[in-house]
Amino acid sequence: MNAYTTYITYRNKKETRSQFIRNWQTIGLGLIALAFGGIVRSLLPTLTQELGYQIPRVASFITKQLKDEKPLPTSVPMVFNPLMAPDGTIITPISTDFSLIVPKIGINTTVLPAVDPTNQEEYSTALQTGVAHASTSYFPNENGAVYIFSHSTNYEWFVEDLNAVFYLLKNLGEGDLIVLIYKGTEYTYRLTDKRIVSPEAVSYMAPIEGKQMLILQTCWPPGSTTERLLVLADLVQTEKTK
Amino acid sequence: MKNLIVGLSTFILFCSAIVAQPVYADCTTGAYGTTCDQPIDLTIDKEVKNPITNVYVENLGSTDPTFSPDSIVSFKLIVKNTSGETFSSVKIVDQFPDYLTYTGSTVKGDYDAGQRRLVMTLDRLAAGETREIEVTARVADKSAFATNDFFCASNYATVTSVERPNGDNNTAEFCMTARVNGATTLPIAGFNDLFTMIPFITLGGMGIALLKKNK
Repeated sequence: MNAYTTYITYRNKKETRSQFIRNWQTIGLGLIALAFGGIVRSLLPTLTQELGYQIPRVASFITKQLKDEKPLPTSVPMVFNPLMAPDGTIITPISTDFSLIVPKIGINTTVLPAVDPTNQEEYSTALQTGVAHASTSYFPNENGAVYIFSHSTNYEWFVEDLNAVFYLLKNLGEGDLIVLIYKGTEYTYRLTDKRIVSPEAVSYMAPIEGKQMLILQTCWPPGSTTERLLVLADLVQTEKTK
Repeated sequence: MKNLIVGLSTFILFCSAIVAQPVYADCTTGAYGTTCDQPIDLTIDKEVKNPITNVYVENLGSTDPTFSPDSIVSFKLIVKNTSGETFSSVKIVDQFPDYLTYTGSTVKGDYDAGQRRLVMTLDRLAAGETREIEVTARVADKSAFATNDFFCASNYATVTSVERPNGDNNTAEFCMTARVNGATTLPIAGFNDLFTMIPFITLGGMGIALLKKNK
């Protein structure tokens, strides 16, 4: 075997090894792309909701800055309408029987009455079509706390029909308005507190008598069942639905 | 006229003397009038914080908001000296009920875990002074409520001083809910997305390993 043959053999071996490495690298890159796609796809519903909430806010802020809007003169009366979206449009409740509207985060959904919060099978089915009113709590026209719960996120590959309307509850703050329409009457609540509690904090879903208030519950952090996010709001206005 | 003014002044002074008389504890009325052991001018008032409104109230009954296992209960002790003298070594004893363990207080105290008793001492309480002390305690976890779904308890506090050894006492009632219709947790209103991401994270990890290995 002369030197030339040795060189050719060496070069062939090297090329084969390079080809082998390239193949594995391609597979590696493919796996990374697959993982990235899967993760992004699973987060897509959450991202869509978050962007759907944030983009109009940013746009509205920029528009205001550009227009240099001046406040209304003091002589113009401000009309209190809790069913007004952040962009000024009037919200039409999805149902006058029992529905929940949270203008700030775009919730307008049917409330399923008297769902047993202690029966997971029952409430899981109910949560696929709307938000659930806990049967252990009061109704809006009674003198006690109304307890409503719903899913906070959605993983649509596996849970196609899961509602995630409460995902944006985290973006609510003190003073935000929440409206319940019940049997033709509009009950407006003002947010007083947001709490993160352990799943064992069952006292919140026990009947709380003597105060007309609203408790909204979802899981926390979004995409987990580790804790519970509670939104507490006090009744500020009751009037017949227009 | 002078006599009238003098007479009126005397009457007002007399009335003031009657009004200003301290309220006495353990008074007994006999043939020779009323005798009292000591005046009630060192008082304690115990309040509990409503877990929904965060407002301190005297008591939380069975229809009021309740506390869950492992939650924090806050109490406020209001100690008042309504006398005209300064009291020294004012001792406050807070007796916790079962299922409640002391976690902290705004005045340093000695806690006896065996007796569930917290003892705090104020060096002095000046005439007319009011002191507010906040005490927090934790409800036992759900394993401690094997047989009780719902029950109420009282937290008892007393105050005494060198000058007023009989002092005063007060309680604050509150209730605990360990289960609602047999359920020990709030509804599961969410989905554990992280579990569904594990296969993708694993694939990503394998891809990175392959890239690194063949460099």
